[in-house]
Amino acid sequence: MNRSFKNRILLLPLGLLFAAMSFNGCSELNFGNRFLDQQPEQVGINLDTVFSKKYYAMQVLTKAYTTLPYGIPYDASPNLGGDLLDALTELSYSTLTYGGARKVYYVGAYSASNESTLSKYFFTNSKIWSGIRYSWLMIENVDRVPDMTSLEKNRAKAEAKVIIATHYSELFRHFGGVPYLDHATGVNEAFHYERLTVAETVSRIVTLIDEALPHLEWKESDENDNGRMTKAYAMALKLRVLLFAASPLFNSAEPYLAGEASDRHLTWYGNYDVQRWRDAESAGRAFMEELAASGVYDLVQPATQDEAGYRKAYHDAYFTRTSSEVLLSVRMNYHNNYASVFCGATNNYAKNQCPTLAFMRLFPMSDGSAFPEDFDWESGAVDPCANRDPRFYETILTNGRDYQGRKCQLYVGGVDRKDENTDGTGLLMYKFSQDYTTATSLGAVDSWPAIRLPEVYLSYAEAINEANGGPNDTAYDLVNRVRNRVGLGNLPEGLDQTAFREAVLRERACEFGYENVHWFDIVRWKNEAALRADIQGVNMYQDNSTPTKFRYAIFDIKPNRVWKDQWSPKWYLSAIPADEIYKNYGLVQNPGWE
Amino acid sequence: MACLAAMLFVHAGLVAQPLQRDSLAFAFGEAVRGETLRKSSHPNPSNSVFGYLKGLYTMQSTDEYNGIDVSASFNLRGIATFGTATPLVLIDGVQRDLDNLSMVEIDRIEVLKDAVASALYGVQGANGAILITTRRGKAGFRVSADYSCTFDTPYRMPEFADAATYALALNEALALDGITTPRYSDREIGWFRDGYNRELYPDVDWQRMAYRNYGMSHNANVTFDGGSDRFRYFTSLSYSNTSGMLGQNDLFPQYDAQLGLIYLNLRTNIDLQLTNTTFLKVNLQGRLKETNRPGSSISSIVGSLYDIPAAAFPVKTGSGMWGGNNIYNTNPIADISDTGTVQAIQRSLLADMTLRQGLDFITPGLYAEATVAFDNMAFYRDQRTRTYQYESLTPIFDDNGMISSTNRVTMGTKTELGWSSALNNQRMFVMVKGTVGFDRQWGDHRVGAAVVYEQNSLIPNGRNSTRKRQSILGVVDYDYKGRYTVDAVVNYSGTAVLPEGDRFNVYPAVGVGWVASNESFLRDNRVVTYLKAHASAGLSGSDLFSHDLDLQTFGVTGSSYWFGSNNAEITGLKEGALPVVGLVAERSRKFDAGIDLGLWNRLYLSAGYFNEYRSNILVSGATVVSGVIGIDVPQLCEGKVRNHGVELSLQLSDRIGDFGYSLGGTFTYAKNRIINNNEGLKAEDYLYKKGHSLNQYYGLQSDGFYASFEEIENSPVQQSFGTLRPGDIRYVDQNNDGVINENDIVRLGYSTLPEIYYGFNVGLDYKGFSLYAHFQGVAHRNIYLNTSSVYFPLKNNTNVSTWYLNEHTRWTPETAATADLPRLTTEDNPNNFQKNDIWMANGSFLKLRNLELSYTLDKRTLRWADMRIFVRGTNLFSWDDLKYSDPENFGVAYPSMRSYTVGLELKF
Repeated sequence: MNRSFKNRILLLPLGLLFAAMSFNGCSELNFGNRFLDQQPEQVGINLDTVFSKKYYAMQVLTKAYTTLPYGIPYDASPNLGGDLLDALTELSYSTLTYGGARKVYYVGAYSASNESTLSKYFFTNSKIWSGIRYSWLMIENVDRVPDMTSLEKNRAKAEAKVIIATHYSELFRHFGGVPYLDHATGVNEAFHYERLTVAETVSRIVTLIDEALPHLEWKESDENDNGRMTKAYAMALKLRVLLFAASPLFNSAEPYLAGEASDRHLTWYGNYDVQRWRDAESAGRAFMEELAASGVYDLVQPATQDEAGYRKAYHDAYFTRTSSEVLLSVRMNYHNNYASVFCGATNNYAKNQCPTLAFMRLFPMSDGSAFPEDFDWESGAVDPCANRDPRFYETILTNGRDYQGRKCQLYVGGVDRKDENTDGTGLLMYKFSQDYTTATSLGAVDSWPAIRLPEVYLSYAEAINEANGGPNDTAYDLVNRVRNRVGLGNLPEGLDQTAFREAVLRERACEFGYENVHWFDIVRWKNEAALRADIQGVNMYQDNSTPTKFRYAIFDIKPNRVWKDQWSPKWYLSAIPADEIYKNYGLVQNPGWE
Repeated sequence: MACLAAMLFVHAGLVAQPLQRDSLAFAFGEAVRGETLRKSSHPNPSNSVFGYLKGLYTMQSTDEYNGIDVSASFNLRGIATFGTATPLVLIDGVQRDLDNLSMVEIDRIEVLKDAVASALYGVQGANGAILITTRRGKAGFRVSADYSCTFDTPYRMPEFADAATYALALNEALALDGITTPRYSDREIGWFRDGYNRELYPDVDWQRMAYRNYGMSHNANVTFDGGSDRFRYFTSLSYSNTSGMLGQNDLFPQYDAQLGLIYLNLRTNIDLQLTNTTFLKVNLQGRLKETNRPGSSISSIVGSLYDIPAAAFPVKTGSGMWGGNNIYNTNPIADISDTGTVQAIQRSLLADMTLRQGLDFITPGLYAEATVAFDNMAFYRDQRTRTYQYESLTPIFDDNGMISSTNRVTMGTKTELGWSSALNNQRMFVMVKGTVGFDRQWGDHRVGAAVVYEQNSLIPNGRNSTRKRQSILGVVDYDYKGRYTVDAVVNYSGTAVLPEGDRFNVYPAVGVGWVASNESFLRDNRVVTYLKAHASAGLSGSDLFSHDLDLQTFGVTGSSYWFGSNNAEITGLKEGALPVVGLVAERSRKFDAGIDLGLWNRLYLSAGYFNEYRSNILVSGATVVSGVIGIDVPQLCEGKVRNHGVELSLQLSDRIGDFGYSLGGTFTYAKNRIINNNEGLKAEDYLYKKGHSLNQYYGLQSDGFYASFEEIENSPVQQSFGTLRPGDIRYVDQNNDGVINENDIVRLGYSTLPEIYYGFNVGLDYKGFSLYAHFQGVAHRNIYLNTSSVYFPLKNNTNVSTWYLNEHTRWTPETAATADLPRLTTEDNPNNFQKNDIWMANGSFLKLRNLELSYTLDKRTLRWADMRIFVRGTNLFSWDDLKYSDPENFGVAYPSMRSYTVGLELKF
């Protein structure tokens, strides 16, 4: 081989080396650690970049908003498997075969080791805890953002605190004292979180709200901020928490059930103190004073003083996003999501939430008098649905009403009740779902009224009644405002403390059907009778000769719910999931669920 | 055990061919020759190595898009990780896929799996390595050519009920579901039988309509090799063309939808002695591959063939349209013929080059070497697809129950052929390696040593998943009088997927050997001609997990909120999981020991034991970290698995006059055990997966069937999987808590990965005739029979198989005493279709992989060439418990092939 050929051959390896370098995608060939440092590019951005710009920082807060509790199903794994919380009360009955009410609660399958998305409030639901975490991330880091004013920063922090308080208020009402996260957990931390006592939990929530109040607007001044946390909502939330805390479940001479959690005061205060009612009363008074000073919010008033007008007012009050009495409307979408998951043909959660006979009876007559105890169902001489509280028609769907482009046929043999043994109560829910179908609901706007003004009125009235041994004029006035709005007369004068309390609780049940209020009223008043009440439905039979004439037959819904036959006060609070307790980071199980 | 120097040379891709020096690797099941593999007719070489190599688990896999482009998956000595257990595959020392080779290019395949060999590959070594060496030229000049033609027939296919049987089964299922009105009247079932109106009451054997009787393939190869002692070359050209067995593939002139697989491989390997001390090796391979399939993927077509009953609708209706209805919304025959075609095209160029310079002028035995490899592959998809219309027919009856007319509804949309193309995938690999080594003999002492630097970068589709690795390796091997050997490796190996500062690990290993047959007391022993004992221990690692696990990121997906009263969607930022703290590579601690024995220079036996302890495996942290931190819990590097077992091999070959025979076999038993998987507290002791195999089969234990509603009503045990009816499975309440739920799931049978893997072959030859049979099997394996329609019939409008109807006794009120399968049902029935022992089958099998009969006429007779003609069968038989499907391919998949090949080989 001659030398020049050899040289040319030697060029070959060099050429291949060069090719390797140039095709490698790097401009140069690196050795050693410099080579490994050319890492694959990262996805996304990190915490420092997020809080270097208002645009990104506010997205963290936005993410926290997306975790707010929402009472009706809107995504793939809603609480209670799609049932509404009222399905656990005596006022409603669920026929949803895969819903949590039937699968877990009615049959008694619910337990600490069976806590899941079928539960009424799943303890480890990532929405709760990630909402708290995103809020803390905002609070801890927003000060670093260069292009935000201190006013904006303080407001963002205040909003975040109210989001945390909102999550804790829910946890508190389902579990009692809970672990409190006071910062966004870092990666190298020891994961140890003990449950706080009831007293500590309440004080943390109240502190969060009190810290936030000075930086919040009473009502958002910019219409584009509608849906953000306001001072009005924060103050109402404080009242809700204090009222729950002052109620007999926690504020009593005895724990509702003995157990380690009770011994540690995680599920009650340890004593009765009327001051707790007074705290609730002053929270209510503070709200009313601010309302008197700043106004803006008011009950939605009827345009006409007739049934249609009252119904319209009540409907707009709970259903419209910018209603003047919704203190916080939570949104999970713009357009109505019930279209696909709530009313739609595939899931149709709404059709499975059946108001019970008890709910039907609860609503007064349109003149304010109670529905007759001795109503003659058998003969059907009087239509039980005629001349009722206008809210009755907005809450319960009854026979003959307009429904999905036709008349509702709830009589036995009708479209909506095929035969008398079909699972159900003979009544359908109208609230929220109304007569939407998948098609007609598409354009509708969707929101969840987290707290409405009437709740503040009725909670304040209740607190006055409990703190002062009976109602005063203010208390009467507050309840009557709620009643008058739908054309019901004033409460009878001269009620004693017990009678007034019952009147207020009944008013709350009528006003807030399916708004996640009644369950907590049962729980905080330890209303065993309500939980153990017979669940009944009513069959409606069409008269063969006169199709407009009906007779009614009341029937019991069997089998009984587990807590009717095997009563235990443990049902007032949820169980903490067993696998969380097993992780041994400081959780103690609630009484009765050990 | 191949000595370390040998492995290093192979690793370096050197031409020194140390394995020829250590050819006992073939005798002890550590390596297999290319010519042995070429006794298989499969176009993909990965499907030829079944059972030849000790420790190598090769399992057939399926191709869900094309059906016929199937390859096999590899594991060495089972698995020892929750993560990826795929071994490193190296072709001529470069990380490449075996699937890219043609059979004719392969010189040998060997497996490296002991502690020392694993340490050589550092952070990529824990799963072991498979080394493929391609053929090289020898001095002189040779040409060979061969051609073979293969007929592929389906090996096993499930059988489904005919229309009338299906209708009866459906009525039975409905009745047992409590639905009193049957779907088909007796009169209608009669019409299915007698063919009264085949448009409304069809009886279609969909599989028969969809498949022709056979597929075909042609393989042709030409090789040239030769040269002088200074310049040698090997060149091969191979062409393979396989077509599938779809019928009705060419109804339209615009395209042919037949499954197709064509490739052309061109390889040139050059060895060049530039000077007395400079040696250059260049390997180049180019590949063009094209696959073809119908517009619908083969898995969806086969899914329809399984699930659509014979009674559903005709292939075509009387008006000439495709049949169909709104339950299935598809017609498998139309899916084959009327949806266009999809072609996938692969173009690849693989190149590597090694330059070696002897540096004896510095000190004898010293050399330096540089290797560069550069591979580039692109996978391109070119599709012309369309959709079709079909007609749904429903009968209209008159008052006598006879058909008065037919209601026809046209469904679906017809579109014209639309063209699109896309880059499906690509792979770029660059490796640079430099070695300085030393190999010298002083009297009785031989010492080899080398320092190797290597860096490589693998860029798949999407640079985000780029892998970069780097290592510096020091090796020493020492040999005293050919009796005592010591090998030691220290590998400082790093990978870019680990956080900065923690990227590098040290992987040391040491191996010792004693060749007793070279001791004086055994030298010249006529019985024991070879005896070696060896052992090794060491560390290696694995980095086959995702990128950026050590970083926390924010993204903007699916987290919007609607402030204001208008539709103003405000996006939120979503936080990624917490980073993994202390992310490290998986760490494997291996120990091996074994004995290799040669008797009479004919019979070779080996036995070995291996034990691997894998730690730092990523496992979920969610079971131990609080659920209240509000963020996805990071994984923890806390998983631990132990895997141990034995390997055996046997080889015998001899010749008695004109009669020659050979017998070979390997056997591997590997059992793994989870040491730690971070399980949370479980309700019952038997629910822990810890302490058991990684792929252990778990399920409910059945206890017959409920006979009546009374029995269900009065059962002391409540089953929590939906409402029960007579004929539903009764389960054993393992914890006696009165409820059957997920707490009653127990270990059943073995793991889904076989514990025992073996293969054996027998060869006989007499005067130019030869017969060769190759068997391979697995044992201690259980599989889950959940194939829709075949094992889970009728559920959600699916079909019913003869397996369910004829092979077994299903529960009916009449057969309640003898039933071994639950009742038929049209519903989801979450009770019966739980994973349980009824749906568990023995997955053991023994297959006759290849059987070949050949006749060779040598050059002396033919004068111009050696000629060999052969007939061969591939996948001819299997002994197993599954009558209706291939135990390696029992899901919804294109059938495995039983192939018959005839061929001719010429060597000039």
